[in-house]
Amino acid sequence: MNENDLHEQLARSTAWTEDLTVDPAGDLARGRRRLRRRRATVGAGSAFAVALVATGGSLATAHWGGSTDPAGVAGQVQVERYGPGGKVEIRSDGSYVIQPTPGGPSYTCSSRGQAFTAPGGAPSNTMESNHLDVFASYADPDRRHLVGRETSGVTPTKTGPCGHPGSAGARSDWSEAGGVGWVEITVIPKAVHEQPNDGGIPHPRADTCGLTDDRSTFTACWVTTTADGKQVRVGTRGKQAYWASYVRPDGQLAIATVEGDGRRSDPGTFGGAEPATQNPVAEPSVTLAELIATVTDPSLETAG
Amino acid sequence: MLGSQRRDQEFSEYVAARRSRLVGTAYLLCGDRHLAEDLVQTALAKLYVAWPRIRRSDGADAYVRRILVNAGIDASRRPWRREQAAGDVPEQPVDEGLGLEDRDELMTALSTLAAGQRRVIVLRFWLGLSVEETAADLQITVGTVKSQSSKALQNLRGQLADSRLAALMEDAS
Repeated sequence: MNENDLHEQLARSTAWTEDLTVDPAGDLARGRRRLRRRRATVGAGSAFAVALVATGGSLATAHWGGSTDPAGVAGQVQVERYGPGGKVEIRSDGSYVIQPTPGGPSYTCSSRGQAFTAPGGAPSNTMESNHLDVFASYADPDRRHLVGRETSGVTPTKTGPCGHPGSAGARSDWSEAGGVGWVEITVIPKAVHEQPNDGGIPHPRADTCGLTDDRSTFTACWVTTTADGKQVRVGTRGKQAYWASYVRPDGQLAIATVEGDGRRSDPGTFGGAEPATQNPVAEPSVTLAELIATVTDPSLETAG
Repeated sequence: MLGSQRRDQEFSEYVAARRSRLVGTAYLLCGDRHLAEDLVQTALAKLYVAWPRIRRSDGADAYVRRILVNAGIDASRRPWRREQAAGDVPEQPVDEGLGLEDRDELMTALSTLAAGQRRVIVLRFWLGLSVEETAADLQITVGTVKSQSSKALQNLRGQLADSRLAALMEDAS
């Protein structure tokens, strides 16, 4: 068998695909759902959603309380888009107006509690959570590594047009051996992490080596059981990145991640394949055991 | 035309033109039609999200290819891969261009290859990428592509020859 024979055989083995009915509408619908979910997840990651607003990104889900505002709004509009038919106007003060249907009522959603100021340009939040403290108690009690930029937040669950599934989380630089990576601890509600994906599989996906999605760059994943019987999913990318996730008794998903190169590959919605730091930490000294202890710690704050 | 409309239109045109080929590629990578369909669905959904960025760089093919190549073989080998109830599996038509036994023979031979070798085979001999393009896609060296390609071909030859020999012996007995 030469190379031409092989190509021929491969072509014959896949000849059946030529008879497949191609319906772009199905893929289009799945793509739109994924886009909506991604934007919704942006909203769910409270501390990080605001960073997106600040950079002019889109935010499809309402995230804060608000009131009906048929008369429209004043203020500078930064972004204007919202799913098929509707629109959202994000204003310079961080609030925004949602009009779910063309010509229908508009709802003004305030940005209460999202006053981020940024040391070094990173977002921070006035609504602090205890996530970094819990993590530090296991992984960095002397706070030698959790230095640099940090952000945390707890966004309560709200219902109504400006509603959102609440979430709580924190992120911090992880400084070690002259490099800078990052750490993230998040607790997200059941309604978010169990959203089915395009194939109808609830998150966290059991068939991918990722936390909440399948775009992860993590390369090894498995389930481990703690001494007191808690099942925790963990993943690694070499010695540079680790995560642990645990579905708490209340159904919320606790996630702890450390990445020496800050790729933000999972979780999160801004995951890029490229390192986010010019000076990565080759091997963060955080252990999986410390991440597992963090995510199974019942004192981690939730959005209620 | 609004940005979203443009995205939808361009994406739909891309899907119409490429989907069958992508399913074939995924199938060769994972060896399972249903999983191949799943992989393509996921890859296209990701592509839709990334479309504005990908379109500008004219890299849709490479983007989807990378997703399939990275996910395909791993997915088929994961122990936690979900199982389908027998009742959910539709009937599979027998290929007209290739007997079922022959097709299985090739796919069986492919399944014996190491993941890296299988990727190289699909990229090089199915998608027709050059050695350099394959190396870039898989983020390995040109030398590695060549050596894996050579080993993979050698393994396939051995597998297919063994299979045919066994069939002949069975017929003769």
